[in-house]
Amino acid sequence: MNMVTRGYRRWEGRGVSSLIQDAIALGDRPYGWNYARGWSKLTVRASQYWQVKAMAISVDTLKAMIRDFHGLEISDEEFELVLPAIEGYLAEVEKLKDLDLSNVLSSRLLRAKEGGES
Amino acid sequence: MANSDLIRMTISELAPKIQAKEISPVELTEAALEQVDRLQPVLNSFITILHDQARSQAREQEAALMRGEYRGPLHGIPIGIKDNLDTGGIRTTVGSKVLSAQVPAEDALAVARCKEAGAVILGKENLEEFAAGSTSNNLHYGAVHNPWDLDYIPGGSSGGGGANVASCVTFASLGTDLGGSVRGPANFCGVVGMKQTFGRVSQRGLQVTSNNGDHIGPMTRSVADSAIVLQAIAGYDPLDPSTVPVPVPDFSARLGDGLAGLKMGIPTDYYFDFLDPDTEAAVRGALSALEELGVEVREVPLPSMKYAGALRIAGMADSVVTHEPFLRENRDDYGPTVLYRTLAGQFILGRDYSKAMKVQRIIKEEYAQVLQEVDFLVTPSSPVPAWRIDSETVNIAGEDYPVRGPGAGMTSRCTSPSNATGLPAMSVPCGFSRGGLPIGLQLIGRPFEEPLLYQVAHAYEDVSPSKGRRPGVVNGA
Repeated sequence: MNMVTRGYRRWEGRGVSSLIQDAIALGDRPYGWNYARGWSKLTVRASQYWQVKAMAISVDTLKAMIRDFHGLEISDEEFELVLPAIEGYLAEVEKLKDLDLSNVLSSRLLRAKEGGES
Repeated sequence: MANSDLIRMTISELAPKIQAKEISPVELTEAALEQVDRLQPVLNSFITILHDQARSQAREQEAALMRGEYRGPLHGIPIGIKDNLDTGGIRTTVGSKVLSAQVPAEDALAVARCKEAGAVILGKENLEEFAAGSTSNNLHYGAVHNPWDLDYIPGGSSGGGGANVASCVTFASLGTDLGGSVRGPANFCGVVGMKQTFGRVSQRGLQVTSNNGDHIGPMTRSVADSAIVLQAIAGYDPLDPSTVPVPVPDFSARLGDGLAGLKMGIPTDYYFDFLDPDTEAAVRGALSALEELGVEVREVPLPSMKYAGALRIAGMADSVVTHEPFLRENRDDYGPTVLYRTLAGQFILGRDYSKAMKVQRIIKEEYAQVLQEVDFLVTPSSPVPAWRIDSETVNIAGEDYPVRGPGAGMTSRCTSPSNATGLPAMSVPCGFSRGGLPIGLQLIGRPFEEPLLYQVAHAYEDVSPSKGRRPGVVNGA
């Protein structure tokens, strides 16, 4: 199954995991979320936001990564909800493809002498 | 003094009266607890309320005062603590079902420092599940409501703290900020939120964090109060290697100083790209006000911000490592937003993590260069005012974006870069939308130059259209 050709709308309102079903049960609370409806809309909009283009990675590849790297299991239904975040990640990586980072230092801690008073 | 008058005061107004024994910590705490009990059913801003402990602490502080042991401006001041900060012997849920029964043995260092300074802890404040989001609509503990309009979010993840400070329930709250979780609620609730320089305040006792740019910071009703709280919690911690061993300055030292001669930078990239019209109008008004106060304006480029989205990559990978033990044991207890976003983090390649860290370096260098030309930067705190609690999307510049899950980063796009750069950044109220919801101005400074940010924010606060405004729920409207 390819992430590009799948199309997210096909699962709108259907195929949700038991966790989501539990959440739906809470949906009649004031201000509670209707998770199934909410997530389907969010997924569609997130894809539009990132303007996802062709990607080589497939769910089968991701499943193989989980198996071979002893990752956290994800069911087929859950993959539908995880994929938007993965697509967002891949879209951000795509933006970096022409950026030469070979001579850039890595980063984390500030040094006090980088500026300012102490 | 009537309770309704007491609760509206600021810490800097209360402190001299407490020191002079004109106001008692016990009567102040009783007034605050009365406000807690009145507004908790309305705001849902606490997960745990500590009536007995607060009264006991207040009595201890009063006794200390009577012995002549005044501990400083936080002496006897009731505050709130976000429920992802350890409190010894007190349940700390992190807004999750997973840790709903967790009782830490010790206080987080920042909490301990507030208590040493004489603060009284009123309770543990509601937040987004695992402090991961900007709505504070918590699946397990219910939604926090914005005191300016109860149908709207207070921002997140420190939403309980923002709502409490704005509605005069607490005089200050300790929040945490990994992408804007102090500054966001401050923006949406119309209070002051400070995310100081990374390394200024110990993170020890901050639960379930990625340790990649998280900060414990104060939310207060005034700039002067923010400086007071930061003074109490700042300082090197040998048990937290992220803290930097630099002296702690007097954060209040420059309050009242004029702004003439200071240079402010207005970024021409990124921050003003997607803005709600009311937000833009309020922020532009604040820029004009700062100029009238004598600040010189310069436009500054930040071209590398076009790669800012890559900063999320490291956060995704860090998050899965942080949550892995819980995900293996308590997966069914997770809400979907955190669960599915976190599970995605296991697919981040090491190559891309390395790239993200290098992008972070490029962006940090660019800010450092710009901040050699100007003294501070000014931006919006958020692209939009608060949105309705039941909204699934928010419209920004004509486009709908999700408010949780993938794509929700748009709502915190103005605050999250300062978590990556580690630079001090604070949100100060700068007006209201046409719907009456608060809007915030963000000031970003050089490393360890919080006193300068406080100087600017304090001067602006006096001319801000938000000055003196409190939501109607404060006194029962």
